[in-house]
Amino acid sequence: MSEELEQKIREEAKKLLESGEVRLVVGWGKGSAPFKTTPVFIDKPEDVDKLVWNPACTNNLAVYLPQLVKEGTIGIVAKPCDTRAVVTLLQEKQIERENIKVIGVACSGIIDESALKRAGIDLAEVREIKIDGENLLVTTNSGTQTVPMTQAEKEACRICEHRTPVFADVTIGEAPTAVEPEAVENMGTPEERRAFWAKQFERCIRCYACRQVCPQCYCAVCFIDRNDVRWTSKKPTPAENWMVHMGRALHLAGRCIECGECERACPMDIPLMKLNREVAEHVEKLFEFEAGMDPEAAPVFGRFEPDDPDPNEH
Amino acid sequence: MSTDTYEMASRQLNNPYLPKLARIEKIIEETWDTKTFRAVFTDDEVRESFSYEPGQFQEVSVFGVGEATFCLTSTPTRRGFIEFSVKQVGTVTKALHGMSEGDIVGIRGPFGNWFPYNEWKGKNLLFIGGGIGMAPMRSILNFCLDNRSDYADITTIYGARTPGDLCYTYEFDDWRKDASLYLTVDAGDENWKDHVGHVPGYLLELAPKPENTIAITCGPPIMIKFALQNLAQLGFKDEQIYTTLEMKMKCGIGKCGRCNIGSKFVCVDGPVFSLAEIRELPPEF
Amino acid sequence: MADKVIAKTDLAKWIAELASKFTVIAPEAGEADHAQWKEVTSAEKFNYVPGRYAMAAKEFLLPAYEVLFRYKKDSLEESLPEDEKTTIMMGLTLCDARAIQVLDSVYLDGKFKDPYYAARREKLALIASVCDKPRWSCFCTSVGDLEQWAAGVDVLITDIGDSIYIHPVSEIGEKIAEGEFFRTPTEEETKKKNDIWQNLIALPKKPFAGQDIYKMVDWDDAIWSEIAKKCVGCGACSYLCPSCSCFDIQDEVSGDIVERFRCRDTCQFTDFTLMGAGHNPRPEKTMRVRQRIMHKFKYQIEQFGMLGCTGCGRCVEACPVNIDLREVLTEIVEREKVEAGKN
Repeated sequence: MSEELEQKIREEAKKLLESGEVRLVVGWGKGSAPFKTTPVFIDKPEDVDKLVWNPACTNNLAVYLPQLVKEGTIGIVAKPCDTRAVVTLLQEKQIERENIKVIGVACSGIIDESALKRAGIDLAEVREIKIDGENLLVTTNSGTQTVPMTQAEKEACRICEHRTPVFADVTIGEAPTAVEPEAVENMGTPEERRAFWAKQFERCIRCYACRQVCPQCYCAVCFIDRNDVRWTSKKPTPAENWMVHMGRALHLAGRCIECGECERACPMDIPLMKLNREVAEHVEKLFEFEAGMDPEAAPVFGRFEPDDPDPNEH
Repeated sequence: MSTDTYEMASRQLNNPYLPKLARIEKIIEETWDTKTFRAVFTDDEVRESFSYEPGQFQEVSVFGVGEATFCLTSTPTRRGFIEFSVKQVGTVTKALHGMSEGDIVGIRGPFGNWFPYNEWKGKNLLFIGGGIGMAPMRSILNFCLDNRSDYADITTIYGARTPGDLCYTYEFDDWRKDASLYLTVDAGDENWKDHVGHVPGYLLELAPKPENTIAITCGPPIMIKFALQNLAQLGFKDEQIYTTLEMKMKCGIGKCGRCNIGSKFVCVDGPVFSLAEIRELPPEF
Repeated sequence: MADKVIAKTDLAKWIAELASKFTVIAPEAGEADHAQWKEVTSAEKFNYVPGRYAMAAKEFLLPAYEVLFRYKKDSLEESLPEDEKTTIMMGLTLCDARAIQVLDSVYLDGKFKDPYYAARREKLALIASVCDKPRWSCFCTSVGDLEQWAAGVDVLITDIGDSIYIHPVSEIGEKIAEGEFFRTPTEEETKKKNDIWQNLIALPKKPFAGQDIYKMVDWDDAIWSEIAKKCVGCGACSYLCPSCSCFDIQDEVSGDIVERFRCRDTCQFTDFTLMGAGHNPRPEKTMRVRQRIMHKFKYQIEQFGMLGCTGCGRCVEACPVNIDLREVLTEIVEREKVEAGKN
């Protein structure tokens, strides 16, 4: 039950803060709407009741770690995908193992506001949301609607194969039912795909919400922002937007842990996970490497092996 | 402030985003990283009618690379050309440093407010400059020297890190004519005969009197900080002290939102500010 | 000027008539929340559900990207908008209409007039539509007087079921609402329109409504660093905001042509105030967060006498970490009350 898990998270956070092992715990707190949560930074044991656990706990809090660990050990409440982000940060030496304490939480899916809207929910009417088995119960001003989680959740969650933390100091909750792996969607001929993405990138406003919520996008100066060498132009035309997103997807090859936050954060509903999923699949096939699983592993594109596959032969 | 000149300046600008073309006529290598460019507008009418006030700035375009903000270092009393000094720090300044005499640049301006020289008539003027900070002050200094009888004593204290970092050395004799010039460097060399020491310290040593005096200062932030402290110690009031502020700019006309300090835009409400005005701004520079 | 009513079945004719004389732009149909402002030639292409879409009206007046001029072989070619016809913007909300007034004060007033903005603005007529229900994030009634905002458009339209109630506000509005498909409203229709308006202005006000917020936002407030802790530094809030208009100017070379363009920018990006030599007056996120809110709620009042925020709620919905401006302002105001109580 969600409430039990919430209670356990608070207890673990309290332990960490009281013992002084961490200087603060980053987790999710109540948001400004029933279908929202917001990142909270708890530094006093008596404040742990601000931590919540519910299907709106969407933010990948690992994004805050590289900055926060500079000032001491940090506790982080992490969903399985978030723990994979932590692993990637460890692999890439952005954080040290001894500077983090991970409270991992098993997860059966996180809702997406855009998905709720598509399912016909009027967000202005929502009073409460609650998981009930495989459904989401949405209490509105005019009654309760039941929406299957497969319709209410982030696309990344719908196909997620990692429902328990892959890395944690303590794990809360138990593995929900596993999901059948789904093949990456075939989006048609190159012409059809080009037309699809050209339309999508008409909408990109270059706000970089996708990049800023991503724990793996931590470069001090992103290739998009360089003005000594202009990889892309700042003007938001479909051609330039294409370059930005393809570039980012490739920079995330072997690093994207498919939390789906980029797609969720996009204010224009661009289905970025399609790109990331495609790239991840290629990496998995070519290098048998899945991002964010083993903190001891070297990043897949951080090394060369004599027997690296030749992509032209695949 | 002369509103007439302002009206004329405004009428010059139908589309304030469109540069006027100018040819680089002369390049003076001031120091190892600073050059002064003298440019002449290619269009005869523009060249004849272009006017500006000391303290104003312009946006200089290197077409294809970008634009950057430079104060007009020349004085409007000497017509037919404009000058600006460039320290090489980034992409546009690097491109400018790579240009030669005869090359074309774009000029947008003049923008901003200017030194209220009419209010200073009859007063003593004290110019305190450090390094490239002398650039905006050169405009008002030469302007006042060209209108010598309008002002009482004119004194300049100018310093740089080393003798090689001093700019406008070819004008020093002019700045001594019927005026005083005090030079100083942080570290001298075997040929250096003048004062050695930081500008703010030299200021304190020279101890100019604040009565009926306006102080104008510009230079690296650290120099300004101590110069202001020392001016206060010498008895100068906030209203007697002027400086020019610098922020990143793009449009230069108060539209792009970039150069604000609180509710003031440095490109429209500045760049010239009195210390009294600065005290009312949030501490954001 | 007389109010009129047009049956929805006649809407297509009116729009066709307008499209023959003017350029009509409206949110495109079928795109739900992300409808972009596109040219309308027939009623089917027009998304007529009243409400606030992701793309604000500013997209037309200040395109996300526009060429200022082109330079080739020592000659400049200006690239000013050259529309002969008046453009009618149809279906914008009152919060967006008010935002246009805010943009007017930035771009048209002051020492310089922006010629690109002015060229579009002079030929723009606004048909605003009255919202029938708020989104979860709306707070227009807390930052302004909607009657006053409605007086700034050319036509005000209300969806009353089978028909659309039309209230011309200006002379241009009168001209726009001309034609044989209009008739006088019945008493019942007028009542329905009034009910919908009353419903709109009854949107409950937040605790910061009617307060002089510009006196309360403080440079040294601890709230800025509280917000900055979770802010991830994207530009979603500013880019979607109908009155945020900061821009960048850049050159781009293509062959022997240099294109100088301007495009959107935001004070939330690290390099917004970064200078060539490396100095940045706002290196910390706390400072950039403070800049945005103080600009909208204090500096714009000091500069133009107008609050920069129109309560549209886009920033509230778009923020990936749920920084809710309504909560921020409420906290500032409630804390001021506590402070004042102590004194």
